[in-house]
Parts: sequence; structure tokens; C-alpha cells
Amino acid sequence: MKLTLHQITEGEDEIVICYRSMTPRIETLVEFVRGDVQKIPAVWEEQTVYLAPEEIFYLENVDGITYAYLADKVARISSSLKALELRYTRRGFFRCAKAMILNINKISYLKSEPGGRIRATMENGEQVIISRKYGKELRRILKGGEEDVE
Amino acid sequence: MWNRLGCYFEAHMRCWRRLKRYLSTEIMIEYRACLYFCCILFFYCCYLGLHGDFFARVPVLVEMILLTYAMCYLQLYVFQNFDETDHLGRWGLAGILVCSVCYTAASWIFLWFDRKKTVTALFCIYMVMVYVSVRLANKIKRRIDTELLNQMLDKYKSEQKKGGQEPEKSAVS
Repeated sequence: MKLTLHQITEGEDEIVICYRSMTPRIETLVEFVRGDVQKIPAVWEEQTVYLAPEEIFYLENVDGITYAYLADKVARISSSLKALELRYTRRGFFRCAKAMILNINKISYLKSEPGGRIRATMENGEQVIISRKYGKELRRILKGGEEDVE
Repeated sequence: MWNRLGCYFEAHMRCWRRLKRYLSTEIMIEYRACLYFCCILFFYCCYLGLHGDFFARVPVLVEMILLTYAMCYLQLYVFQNFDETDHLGRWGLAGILVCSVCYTAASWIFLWFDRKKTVTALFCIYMVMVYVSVRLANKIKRRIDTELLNQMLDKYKSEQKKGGQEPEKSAVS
């Protein structure tokens, strides 16, 4: 990526991004310029930590509290599952059950199960059963948003 | 009043969800009943054809479809849907044998094959093979689906890494 810096003597600071196709890298840059928070604030062992979405294996809502499961810790998040799903869908977050969101990028293996269900094995070895209803949505996402033609 | 409406709505949604689950199971049972009915019908037609008879009796067909319908309920609720499971345990094996014997007994009682012992015994073996074949077909289908899912998953992950996905909105407002 080419970087051009142009110092001006007057006028407002401005950042112009020329792009041929919007990639996650450019999107991250845009979010940073806009001041959007990329990392998710969470509480772990009574400390505030900031989690990168890529580190999260899955999110689960238990008794109204959202927990983020990472490789080595479980942190509590104040945002709702709905808000996280809306925000991070393009980063691979997928609602696999009423109270759970999976990070597709952290799935190591998928297995078709009887009854149209799908068993997802995460990189940490945990297995999650995705029901037929959510399995259809997963197939749509993996196909890149095309019509499901099963 | 709003609380009452909310409770009413919640109860209504619960009923609707239960109805959807029931319908889903019912439809699955009916599809399966039709599949097994076709298999039995094939055997029956072969039997008739070999005896130079090209007319099937409607009461026999009705008996067959009703029996397959009842047997599918038995398969699902007693024998844990053995024709769709990955692993066939003792209970699944018992299911195959019991269901095959039930069909054989029905064929004897209702004179489908004129109580011919050889044909009835062959029918029993045929039903066992039907169950094994249906299980195998379902297993193969799931294996193919698994391969496709993992291919799509690998492609999705590599595209995410490369950053080849188009966003829904433009970056510069």
C-alpha cells in the first residue's frame, strides 16, 4: 500500500483514502480515523481489558450476562449479543444459537449431523452444535451471501 | 393491561413454537414413511410381476402405507431414529431387527405374499437391507455435506485473511 503524506500550511486536517476495493485493512484504518473503538472492552479478574474480535472464540449470554471465551480466559462484556452481532458480522461473528455467537474464523472443522444440524469444532477443541435454523444462515455466510441452493 | 397482553403474546409464541416443532417432526415422519412404502411397494410389485399379476390390491397398499407410517413413529420415538444416526449402537441394531420383523409379521398376517414362507423370509432380509441402505445413503450424504462445508469454511477464512470481501457501505462518507 502506497503512503503519501502532504503537509499543508492552512485548512483543516484531512485524510483521503483512495481504494480500489474495500479490504478489512482499509476498513480498520477508516474505523481508526473515525475514532470507532475496534477492541471490545471487557472485565477479566476484575480488571478492564480490551479484546480484539479476532481473539474471541465465541460469545455466550448466561443469565443476561455476555461472556467472551478466548484461548486462555473468559471475560465479561457489557454489550449485548445483538449489538456485538450487528457490529462484528463482517469480522466473522455469527449467531449460532439464541444465546451464542461464534467466530467463524476460529472454527477448525465443521461436521454435518443428522437432522440438518452442524457440529462446529473450535480451534480450542470445544464443540458447538448449530441447529438447522442457524445452520442455514451459516451456509449462506460461507457461500458469501448467495442464495442457498441445497 | 400491557402485562396481560405481554403474557398472552408470550403464551401464543410458545404455542406457535411447539406447533412448528411438531409439524417439522410430522413432515419428516411422512417423508420417511413414503420412502419405506416405496421400497416395500417395489418388492411387492416384483413379487406380483414374477407371478404374472400386474394389478396391486388397494387394501394391501393402504395397509402398507399405514404400517410404514406407524413404524416411522416407532423408529423415531422408541429406536432413536437409527436410520439417521452416525453410530449404530445396540439399540439401533435392535430397531432394525424389530422393525423388519414387524413388517414381515404384517406381510404374513395380511397375506401380502400369500403366506409363502420363502418369499416372506426374503422380504424380511430385504427390509433389513433397506434399512442398512437408507442408513448408508444418509451417511454418505452427510459426509459429502461435511466436505462441502469445510471447503466453504476454508475458502471463507482465506478470503477473510486476504481481505477480499466488499463491505456493505463505502469507507468515505
